[in-house]
Amino acid sequence: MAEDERGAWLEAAMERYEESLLRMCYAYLADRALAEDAVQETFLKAWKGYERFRGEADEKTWLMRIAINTCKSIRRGTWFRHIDRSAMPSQLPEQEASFDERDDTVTCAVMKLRPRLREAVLLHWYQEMSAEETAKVLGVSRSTVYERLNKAQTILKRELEAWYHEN
Amino acid sequence: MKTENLGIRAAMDRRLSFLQAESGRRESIRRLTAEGARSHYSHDGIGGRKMKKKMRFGFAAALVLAILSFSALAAGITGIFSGINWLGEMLPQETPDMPDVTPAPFTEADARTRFDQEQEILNSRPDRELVVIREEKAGSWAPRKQEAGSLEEVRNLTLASSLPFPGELPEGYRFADGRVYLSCRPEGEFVLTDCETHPAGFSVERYSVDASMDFVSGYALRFHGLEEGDFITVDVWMDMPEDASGYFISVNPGQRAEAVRVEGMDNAVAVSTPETCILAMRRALSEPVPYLYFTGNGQNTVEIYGEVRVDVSASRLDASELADIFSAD
Repeated sequence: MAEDERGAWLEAAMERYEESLLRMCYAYLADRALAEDAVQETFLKAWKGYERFRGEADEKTWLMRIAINTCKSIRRGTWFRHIDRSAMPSQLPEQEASFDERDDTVTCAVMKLRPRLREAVLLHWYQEMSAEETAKVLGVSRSTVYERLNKAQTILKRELEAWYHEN
Repeated sequence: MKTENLGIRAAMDRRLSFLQAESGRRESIRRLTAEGARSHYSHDGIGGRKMKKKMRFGFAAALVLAILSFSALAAGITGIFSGINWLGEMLPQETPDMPDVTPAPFTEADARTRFDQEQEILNSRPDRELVVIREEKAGSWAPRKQEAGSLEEVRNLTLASSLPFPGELPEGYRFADGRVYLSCRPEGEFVLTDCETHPAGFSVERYSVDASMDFVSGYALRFHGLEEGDFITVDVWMDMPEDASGYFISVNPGQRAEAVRVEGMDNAVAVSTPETCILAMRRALSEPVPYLYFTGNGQNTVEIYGEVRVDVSASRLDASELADIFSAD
């Protein structure tokens, strides 16, 4: 395998997905530094597995699968039980694009979902992956994805009632 | 499914816009991959590097608990993409092995010093006090605890709880240290008693809870064996309920994992290597236990404990011997 080819792929992948992955990992882990770790880890794993990837159909699905698995591994670590999860968006700096309170409410509501629901939401609604792609990433059936999304939707509708009707 | 109506993507993107691509992160990835390429892709992983990074966030637990029954797993957490759930089902291994790359420094020297200072503060926190280290964008805290000088003291402190307690230990093991962990009843509150800015730049907040609002929600024990390095650790805590098919315990290459039956537990999984064995167990609480969850943002929430988790790990003992420790419960 040509190192140049793999290096070029990594550069392109970082350009295309870094920000998106970072935000998804943050929404999953509720911790900026851990999310940054997860993103770095994701690209390193992808780089190492590039040859295997070349036989796969969808780059985004593959990267998301690595990222979600990395976040899961982090979340399952014993130490994660005691980290500060207070670093929710409401405490983080406002930068770049403006947001309003409703954005904050929506983001927090997603981040408060149970992990299995949250990951389905993040992949399907945030990353805009199809149910089939989401199922591939999570290693579950498509019907399971729909089931989780339905549950999440019910919870989010309840949590975001006012916001939801406005939209 | 009318997902578009929720408008989640746009809202989250606006709210999370502070998280952006960084040239520094990319440079770090480039460096690691370059080092990995030079190493001819051996499959030893980059655990060393990762653990250094994770210590940044895990030190509170690592040092305060002193007993991490999953330390063997944690130590090799990098590159783990195999897992077993409570039902004994292995999760698909879809991701590749890690490249072997030389550990890279993850912080500057001054940050390392600050880390040590934070660590020291958390590690020396008084009993029953919640200490929160808050930095500009993140923070950490250690669980409220009460130290115990003997196994009997830990037992007495946990009597009123529904936590299982070890029965007879294998011969030759002696109590090394122990503590209980405290949670706050929903009607209690965390009262800020002190807040100071450390010269290193982080702030230290101290909170107290009225003792009458405390209840024991976990404990940790460590025992030493007769031979140098032999140990048993016990880590028991109330946790939010998870369904059996979803939870998984990471498994490293070289570790054997299987679901096992342990009397009195709903599920149990053993993860072992020739040197160590970890037995992770859980059982549902007979009734949910509400508690006040400290969020750190001034708006604490009432959460529910639904199950008890028990992790036991040891050198020289197998899963069945570890299970026996709790069989008398």
